[in-house]
Amino acid sequence: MKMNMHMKTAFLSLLTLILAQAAVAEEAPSFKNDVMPVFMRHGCNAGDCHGAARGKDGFMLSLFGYDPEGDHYRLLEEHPGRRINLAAPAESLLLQKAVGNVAHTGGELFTDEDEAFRIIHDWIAAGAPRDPESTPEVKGIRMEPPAIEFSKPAGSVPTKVIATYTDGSERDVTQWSLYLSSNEGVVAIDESSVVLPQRAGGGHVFARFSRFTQGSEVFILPESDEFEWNPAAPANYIDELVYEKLKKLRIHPSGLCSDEDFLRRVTIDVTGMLPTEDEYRAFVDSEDPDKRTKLIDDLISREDFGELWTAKWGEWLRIKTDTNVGFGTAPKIGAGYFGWLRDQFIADRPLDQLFHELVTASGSSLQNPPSNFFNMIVQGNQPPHVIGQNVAQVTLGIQTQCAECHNHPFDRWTMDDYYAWTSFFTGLRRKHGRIISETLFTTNPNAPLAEHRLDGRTMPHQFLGGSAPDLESQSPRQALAAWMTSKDNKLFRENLANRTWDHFFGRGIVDPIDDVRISNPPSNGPLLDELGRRLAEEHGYRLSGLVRDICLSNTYQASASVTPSNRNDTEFFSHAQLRRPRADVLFDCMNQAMGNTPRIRRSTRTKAIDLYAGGAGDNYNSYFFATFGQSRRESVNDSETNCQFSLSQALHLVNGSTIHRALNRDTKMIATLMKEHPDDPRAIVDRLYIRCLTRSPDETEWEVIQSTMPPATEKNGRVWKSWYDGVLWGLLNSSEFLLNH
Amino acid sequence: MRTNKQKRSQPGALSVFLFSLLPISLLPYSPLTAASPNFQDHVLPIFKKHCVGCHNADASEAGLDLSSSKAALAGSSGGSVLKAGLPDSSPLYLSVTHHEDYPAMPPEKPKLADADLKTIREWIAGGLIATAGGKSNLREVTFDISAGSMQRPEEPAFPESLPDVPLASTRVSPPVLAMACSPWAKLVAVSGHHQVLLYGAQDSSGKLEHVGTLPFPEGDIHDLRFSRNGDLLIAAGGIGAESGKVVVYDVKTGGRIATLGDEYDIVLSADISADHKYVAIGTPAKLVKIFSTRTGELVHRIKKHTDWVTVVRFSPDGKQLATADRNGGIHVWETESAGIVYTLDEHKVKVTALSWRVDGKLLASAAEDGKFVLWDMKDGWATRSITAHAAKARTRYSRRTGVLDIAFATDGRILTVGRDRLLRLWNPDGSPTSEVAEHSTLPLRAQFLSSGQLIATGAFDGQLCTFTLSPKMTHQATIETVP
Repeated sequence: MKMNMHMKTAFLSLLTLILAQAAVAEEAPSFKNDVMPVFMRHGCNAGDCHGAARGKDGFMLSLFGYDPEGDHYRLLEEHPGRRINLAAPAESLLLQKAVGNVAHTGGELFTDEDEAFRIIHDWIAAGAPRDPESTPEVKGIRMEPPAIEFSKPAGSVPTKVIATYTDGSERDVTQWSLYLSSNEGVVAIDESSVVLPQRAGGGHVFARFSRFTQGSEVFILPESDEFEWNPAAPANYIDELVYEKLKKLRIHPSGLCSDEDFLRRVTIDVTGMLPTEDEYRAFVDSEDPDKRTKLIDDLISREDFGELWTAKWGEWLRIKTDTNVGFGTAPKIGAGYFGWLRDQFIADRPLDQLFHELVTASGSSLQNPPSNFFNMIVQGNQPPHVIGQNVAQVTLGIQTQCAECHNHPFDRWTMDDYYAWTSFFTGLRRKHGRIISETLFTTNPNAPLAEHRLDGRTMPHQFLGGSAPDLESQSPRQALAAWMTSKDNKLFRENLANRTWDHFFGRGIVDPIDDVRISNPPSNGPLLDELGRRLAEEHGYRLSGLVRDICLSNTYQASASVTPSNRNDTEFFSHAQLRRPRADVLFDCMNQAMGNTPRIRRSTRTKAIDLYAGGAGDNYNSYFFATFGQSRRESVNDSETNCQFSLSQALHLVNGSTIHRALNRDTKMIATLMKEHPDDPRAIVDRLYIRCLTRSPDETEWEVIQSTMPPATEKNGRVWKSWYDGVLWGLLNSSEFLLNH
Repeated sequence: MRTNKQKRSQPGALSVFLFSLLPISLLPYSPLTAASPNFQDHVLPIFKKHCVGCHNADASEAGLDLSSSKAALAGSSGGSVLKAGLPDSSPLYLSVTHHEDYPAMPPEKPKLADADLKTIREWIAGGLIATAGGKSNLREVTFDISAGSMQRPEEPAFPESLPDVPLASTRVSPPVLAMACSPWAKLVAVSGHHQVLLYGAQDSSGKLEHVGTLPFPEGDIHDLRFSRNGDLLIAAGGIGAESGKVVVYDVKTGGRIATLGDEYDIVLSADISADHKYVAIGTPAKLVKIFSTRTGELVHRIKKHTDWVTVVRFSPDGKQLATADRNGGIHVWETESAGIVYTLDEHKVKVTALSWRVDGKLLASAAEDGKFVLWDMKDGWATRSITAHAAKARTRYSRRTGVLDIAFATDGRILTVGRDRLLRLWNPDGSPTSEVAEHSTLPLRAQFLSSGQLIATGAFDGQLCTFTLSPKMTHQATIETVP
């Protein structure tokens, strides 16, 4: 058949001509609005095909179409005559490859009877024109219906995608959109936009068209029709919003946890420490109905609370003390910055003020510690756009780096947004101070604006997702700080709320906490919205207020034991999750339980939580901390701190130096217990249990322990001490100790 | 020999206005003659300020001493750091411009000012002149018009009895992907839609007219070449990602003399040796193949290029074959043995065209980097690297930079067209002439016609244009290849 191809050509051409002209008579397809969606829908410009940075098989398209001008050039002029045949459109290699008539790595994408073929064909037949200036552009899309509810995990619902254009027109682009699901296990969406429930739960499906992503929320109810909603009365707004979602999903929340569990959980979460024996007795014995509230208020008022949040923000802000004169870090500088941050958190300074000061600080890195903000957050001589993307990730929880080279494929950020944001950071300057470790940070008010990577356009300042600043009366940095910390900046306040929430539940409402995007929606949007609003408006950005709300809620105080309906829930906060504390908190808790005062070099303090990243010789990130996933502060990613379990962690606890060295050292704590309770092993074991697990052993446990006990006739104190060491070792290695529950 | 700095007047409102009336407008060029910078007066002050602290006669870091012209030319312990005429291949220039493959100089300091970098660049480009009035180190490029010119056949071949082939009817003219001019007759072959279109005039003063059509049912035509004596015409092409062929036609009768190659993708380029014994082809399979025209057999299959082989050209005597690829690689082969003669390394991106000077002593290469290079075939030395067509692009990935075709005239002058839409004429040594014309659409092909008296260009919109050269380059006629 191919042999005869040339014979037919003349006739075909004539036929093409007639057909093409008939089509052209209507209106030639637009390159941006008709042709490029075909590339997107069929994956031509995806990252693993021609959208790769270097293209595929010698042909490159811009990833998801961020550069229409360049795509037009590559199709027509890069290798003239190769890809587009203006004289005989159907013979164009572009089409021949797409329909699989000739060898194509990407295979057959559509047939010559498809709409996709007709669009490209007609565009070529019209002379493959660039779009005239007046061509409307896509302004946004919406997915219909915006929410879908299935009464059981079965059935299907088709969705529709409508694009709106700058000329006000609308168009159904369902067949040109791409579809994805936030959780394939719960809800799937096929390529023709049909939503297919998989099992009971909640999730989102998304459609992508042009540079926009929009989603529909999906609820899939369990099959059983018997559902009686009877949870405890909500303790506060958090419970109301969590229960609203759970009720919709027919998930019963777990009941409240025991006093013992609560005491241990809230003490670790708020102070990074274990409750002492005295605290245990006082709390358990108290019959005050308000004792939980009082405990929360007491814990929040302690310095430990501020220290814990200093450690967390110290990681996100990447405070380091390595000596690196080149980019202005040194032990003294790191210590100064860390100390300043500690003061802020211990004073419970409003976070909007704190960030306002960080963003606007200038001057000496030694005299004015917050001036280290921009420097530390990138660690090194980084260009303004890197500073911009790190600032956005830490303060707003969004990741913009995709948009350095192409429009963000799964979010709203465009290259225009990226470079307009970068302009806020082009004026940052540093120079050496009077002494070697000192750096002076200044702002050059006449700094040039950032240039767009594609066409070199200078990009005037613009806030992410916001408007242009008024720079008449203020500097770009002042404008940035004012916008960032304003009460109605949802990105900022929800980022702070979500990071706080994540600490108490082991999961953000948006998760990961620093990857907020349209295609990664909050598992409970109204909850995050309300937490952000309360933090800003009711608590005046004071962390303590929000923490108190969280700790007071039934949601936080829920038991870790599951109900039949909430067993599979990991994202709607229907029950407590078992969480391993961060490396420094775990270290401090272990030492506290062992009655050990660790030696921490270069520090007068005795808690690991007070360590900050330093150079050689410091304990920071030494073996224990590295093994237990302490942040190395190599990036602003929250994932730098790892709270997963690993085999090497288990082995280290069983055999490693951290516990053994402490136990071998003449543990005064056990000696004291032996002195206080001569010949009363049960009392000593009881106290060890309380120190480690905040509870007494039950009878079964006691029987097992008793069976390993030295004979009562044994009078050698060393034998007994060694046995108590063993009990303590066992407790420290138990999952009950290692997990916050 | 000096390279002259030249400045061209910008096309103003007038040319834009002309544009709307004519497909082609002519722009006046006024080259400004000025001496190249020299070491003593211009470069040494820069070196003294930024480099000589570490690179001097007493403390020559890396064995490099930049305190005198002689020492600078002697190079470092790693060899020469300066190549006369070739700033983009000179390690010194690449270091100070912070090229990623070279140590950034001066170390840990900001880049030199743009004006200083420009001075260094022009000093290298101008031939590393030591002092004012000093001698350029550029190799002299001369051309003896009588040397190497072939005898004109008594009766140059011209289509006489071509079969009557109807013109393919397409809705628009296909781009002129390929074009060839007979060395002797006033005859131009242009790629049409699955056809070769011949335009010519019996009389050298006559008007170009459509004189015949040769079917090429094998597909699209990507290269056309006349044999040295003008008797034969070869067409190369095929169907993208499917098949590729070369057809040899008799110019007088239009008859097919041979069909060669059985490729799996378009044959991008082909040429025939002066003695008609060999046809060489270049393909997207990164291969160069040499066929015997007598037997049709594949004589050599050369696997050396690292990307599509975009152009193959025999030397005027046919003893050598120059080939180039999409990755900037150029190789010169001995035709008989397929043994490698030179590897010419100067371009880093797609080489679009090669042209041998009629005496075979100089090879010109043109590439998407906007430059053309003149290679001395005595030893493969790059005597000149000229930035010829480089304009600012609208976006990073769309281009206004790139030389698309290059051709030598029999008098040694050089013709180029490029993505900036310009058609430019250069002196035999690569220095610019004032002759420039602007195309309304992308000019893809350019050749001299009628022994250099005329220029023919083929453009993206399918137009074939001619220009006269005496007294100045002037647009003469435009032919729509699909009437």
